[in-house]
Amino acid sequence: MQKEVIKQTTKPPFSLLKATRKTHKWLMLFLGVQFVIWSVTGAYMVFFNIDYIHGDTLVKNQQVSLVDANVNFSIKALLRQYPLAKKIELSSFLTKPVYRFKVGEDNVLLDANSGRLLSPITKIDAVAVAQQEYTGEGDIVSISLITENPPFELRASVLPAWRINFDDFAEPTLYVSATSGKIVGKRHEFWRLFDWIFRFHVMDYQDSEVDNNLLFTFSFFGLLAGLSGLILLYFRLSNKRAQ
Amino acid sequence: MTAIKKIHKWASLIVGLQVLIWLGSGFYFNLMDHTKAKGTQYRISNVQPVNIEIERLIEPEALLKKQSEQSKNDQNKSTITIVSITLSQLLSQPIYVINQNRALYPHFLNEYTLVDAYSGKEVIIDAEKAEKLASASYKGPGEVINVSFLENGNDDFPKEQNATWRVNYDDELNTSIYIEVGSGRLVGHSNDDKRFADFFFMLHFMDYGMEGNFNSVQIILFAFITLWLTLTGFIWTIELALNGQYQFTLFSKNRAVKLLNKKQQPLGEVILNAHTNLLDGLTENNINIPSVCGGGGTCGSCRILLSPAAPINQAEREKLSVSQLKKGYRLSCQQFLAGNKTITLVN
Ligand code: FES
Repeated sequence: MQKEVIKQTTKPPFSLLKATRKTHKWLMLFLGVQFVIWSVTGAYMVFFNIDYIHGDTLVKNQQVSLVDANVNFSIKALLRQYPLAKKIELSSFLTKPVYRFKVGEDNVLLDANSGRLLSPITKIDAVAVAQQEYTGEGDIVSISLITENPPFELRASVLPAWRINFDDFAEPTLYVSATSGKIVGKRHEFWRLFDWIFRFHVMDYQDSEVDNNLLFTFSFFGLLAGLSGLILLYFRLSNKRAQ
Repeated sequence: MTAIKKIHKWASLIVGLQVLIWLGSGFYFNLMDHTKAKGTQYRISNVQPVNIEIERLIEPEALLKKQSEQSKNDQNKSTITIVSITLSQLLSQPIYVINQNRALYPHFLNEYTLVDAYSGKEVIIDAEKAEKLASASYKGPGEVINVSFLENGNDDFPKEQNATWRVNYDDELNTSIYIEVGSGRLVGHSNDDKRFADFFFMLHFMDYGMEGNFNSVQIILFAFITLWLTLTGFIWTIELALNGQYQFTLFSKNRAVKLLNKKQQPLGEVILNAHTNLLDGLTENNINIPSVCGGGGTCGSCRILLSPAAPINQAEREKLSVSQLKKGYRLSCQQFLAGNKTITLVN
């Protein structure tokens, strides 16, 4: 078949296929890396069970019953001694019944039998709490008291707290409040990684959360890129059938 | 590369629509009003603390004693544990919250008994109490329409595992307030704004069963396939770049090239841009080169004849035979003006 070349001055007809291919190709040059980041971080978040990520398997959550405990220090005496006490709770600390309450921002821990002040708890007691609750087998590798500048993984409101690191898979850490004696944090490497993964997923590179401009730009053009990809898919499938 | 392109195609066929949903819902999360999405427009944040008359309080120890005796007398029943007793308040009534089974979080299954902190009498959160508790946390203009008991879970707070009372209001946002049956705890406020946002979360997390998490089988499967989609796309993009398919047409030079027909007879000259591939360049000059894939290097129908010295890329190796390549046949969508003086049109 011989081709005739007809010189025309008009523009060639618009080709949706060509325009879409160009759009997809060029957008993905700039967005491709982010698509990979989205899918890798997204996969990480859905593959690992969220309760596991939250370290629920690190602690026993023991139910120590108070039923036959000796509680000789009365709540009336407590309120007379600490008139500003709020959120008073009778519960247990290691094997002892205790009162836990707040005075302003501070936690107070009292022996419920003798009324003796237990807070701040000793290092030995903090370790005992961690060992009592920890589900793993590993030994303790390090113990430190954090009073200021908490690491990213610990809320400042629970300070001061003992940080107890265990020698186990994924480097588990339990945080025990130095004032309430409660477990206030539990972490392992998978959660630490999850925190970063999430920030990459929402493109939060400077603590500005989900509503940042970077994510706006990328998800807007990402939508166009995705849409053009679907159109290309449509062309490719319909051509296969025609051939 | 054929395998990469095939995987890219099939993966996009399976997860393509969901990827668009992910992008669309993600875009929505970026834009949405985060305060509205919380559903707390009509929520009163601070509760008025009651003044406790210390002398009237019964001792928590008395509650323990009572339980201890009950367990002793009642031989058949398994012993009841008491993990904690907390002095709290229900509206203006001081109460003790007795926790018999303390879960890791309040929304996990807990077991409570409530007693009046003055009389020691058990307090039950019935529909009437639940309504009062709900209304104490509500500052909207609506009235209560109905109160219903939900045994396990609810669509507004799918993570909540405890039984709740739902109190519905007739305000313009259709506010619902949830009160935990066991403890009287305010689970939360929900309304149409929150439900609208939750719908997008449901789509984003593929959480069609409203489990309140993103670990369902379907999303794990889709995430896995999406990994293949993006990784193959990534490789494809790199391949395109290595083949010089990313060229800016601005700033580049135009040059004339001679066209020949199948029988090597001259057809005339066209001006082509050095940074446009030959398929696009010829099409712009109204020379129709057949193309099924639109320049993707996957259909092989855009063949032209250049010189045997012209570079050969992966797509051409797959779509053209060795003898064709030796003769100088190439895919016009993969080639550039480069040093070519003549182009022979073959189709
Ligand atoms: S246009 Fe399909 S291979 Fe060139």
